[in-house]
Amino acid sequence: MIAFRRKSGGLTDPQFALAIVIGVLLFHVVIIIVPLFYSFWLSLHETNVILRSSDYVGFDLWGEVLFEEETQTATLKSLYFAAISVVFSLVISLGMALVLNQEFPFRGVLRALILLPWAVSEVVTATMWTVMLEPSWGFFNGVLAPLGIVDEGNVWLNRDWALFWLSVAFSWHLAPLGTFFFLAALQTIPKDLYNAARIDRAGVISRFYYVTLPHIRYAVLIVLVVVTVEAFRQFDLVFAMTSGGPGTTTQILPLLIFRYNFQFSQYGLASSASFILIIIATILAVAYFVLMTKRSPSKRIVKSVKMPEMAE
Amino acid sequence: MATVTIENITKNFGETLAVDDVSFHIEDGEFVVLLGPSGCGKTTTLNMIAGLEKPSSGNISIGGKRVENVPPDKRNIAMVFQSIALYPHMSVYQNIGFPLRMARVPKAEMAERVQSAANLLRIGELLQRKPHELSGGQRQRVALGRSVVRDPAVFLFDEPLSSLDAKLRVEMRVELKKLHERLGATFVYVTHDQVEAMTMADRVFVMDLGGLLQIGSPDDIYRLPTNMMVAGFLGNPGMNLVAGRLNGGGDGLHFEGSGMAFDLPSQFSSVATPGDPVTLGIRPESVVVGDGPNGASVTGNIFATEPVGSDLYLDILFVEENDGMRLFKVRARPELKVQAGEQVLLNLPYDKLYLFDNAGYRIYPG
Repeated sequence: MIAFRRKSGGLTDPQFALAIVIGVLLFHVVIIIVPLFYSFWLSLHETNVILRSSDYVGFDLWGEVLFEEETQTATLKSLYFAAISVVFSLVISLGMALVLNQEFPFRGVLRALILLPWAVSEVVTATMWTVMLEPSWGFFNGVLAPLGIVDEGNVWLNRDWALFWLSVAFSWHLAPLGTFFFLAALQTIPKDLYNAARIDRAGVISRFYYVTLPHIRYAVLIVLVVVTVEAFRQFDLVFAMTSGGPGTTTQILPLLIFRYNFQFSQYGLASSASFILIIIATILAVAYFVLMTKRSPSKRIVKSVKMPEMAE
Repeated sequence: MATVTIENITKNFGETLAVDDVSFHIEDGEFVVLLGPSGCGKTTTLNMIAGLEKPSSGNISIGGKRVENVPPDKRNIAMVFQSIALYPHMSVYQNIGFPLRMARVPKAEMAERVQSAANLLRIGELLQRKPHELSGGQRQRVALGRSVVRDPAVFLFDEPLSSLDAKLRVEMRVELKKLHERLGATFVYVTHDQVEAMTMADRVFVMDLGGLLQIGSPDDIYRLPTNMMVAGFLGNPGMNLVAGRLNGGGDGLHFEGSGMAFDLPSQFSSVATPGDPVTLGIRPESVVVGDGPNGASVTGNIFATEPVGSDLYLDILFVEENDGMRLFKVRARPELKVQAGEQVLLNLPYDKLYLFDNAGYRIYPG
């Protein structure tokens, strides 16, 4: 028989748990579920702000989003932005984590400092990078032009490279988060494994490949998903740095949604584009998950062949 | 096959002195156990032989060659760790074959060597399994296999059995001993478990506080411990030690300790001067319950009894001291009918007594 402890308020443990869960659930319904359904409803209706009318149009707006060149271009730009950001943040954050996992003086201070780029607001990050990339008096040209590496007055945020530099700034901002995931994973690796590998003649690269990497693969998965989703829903930094310009060269999907919504008052179009954004991010996240957790062939053999039990 | 020689090695970790001027020589093919309580510097010594730690000063030679600046992978050694340290994502085959793979041994030769190592350790059926699908004893065998497959000159073991349960530990002890006989390689084995040391070693090196206390065969260190630490550490329970003083009269020596006093025969007169503080030692199995010839008679109170089946241990209290109770252990026959609280007469045979001087060194038997 299970006896439940009585709480001071007269609730048993399960009642208390239920009360808390229901509270949180209600909160979620109000701030997430209701807006989500409203947004879905909007994506199925053509609305007119002036006439205050809304006509049901089915999935017409979804089709418009999918087949319109403007949204297709924005989607491709989002994919490019996400791809560059994923590669950069992954490499930077793993590199920083590997360094911070070594023992050296003032490691604790550095571990705290490294989190700063993530802690500062995206608008501040944008301002900082805009200043650094400024053609006439910015840091990059100030250092690189005298060395002859770039021309004087080089425009970094030009039509061809603006999106790339946005990804760099975004990776700089997001990498510390990945560093902390990796650092946590690295600290779970037993030191004896590295010692064993050293005695087994494994060099630095082999030790990374055979000991470190298998241990942090789930951290890699988490960082991949987080960075991808963050990159797809990124708005603040891009809006503050280029507002989608020059022209529309850095107009990634969230910026286009913003324009549909707040400049053209096309709420239905904005909603359907948002759903497509969510769907792309979800597909990518699931793809990562499937790829990373795929079973190795050796394990499948073991599962299918019944091994005789060893007498101990 | 190789000898291992260590000369005056010292290791500091910052302010802490982990190993303090230790020297020893291990013969080719010898099974040596470094024995001591945790923190005595035995694992650090092993890690220095392995090359995982660099000595602060001193020389290390393996097979007659100086190796202080040789990386672990070039020392022709293999090591089994306390945590077993199998690569968790690799199969048993891949784990055992890993050192060969790193040495770029051809696939066919690797398969052959892995199979023969696995057969030697009776895990030939488990090659496709992952470490998490194995029992503790099987994992231990895989770790051994990973060392055996390289055919190293020296095997290093860092408390490899401490993660196993008691029954399995006894079995693995025998297997390790057999493995040593079959391979004929040099084994250096670190443990805090004196039973492992006594059962497996050709020679035991007893360490404490970073220093080497005694080197000897298991029998030697048990029968002739150089000092009180070795005497108390070896044996289960360890030697009884009673602090006291030798007083001399015209007719011989007289021992006076906490709660006991008796005369000592003439053979003790040469070892100590009357008036010296000494510690008397006797092993629990040497004490006779009741009266007997050629021994000192003492009386104590039974504080508790500990039946363990094969034997009955008596915890005797001679005197209650302010700094806590010092229990005197006696191994008695299990049939003995005694109860806690009773008074008991004990005989301490003179030829089983030890005397240690004020610094803790053995002075009798000399």
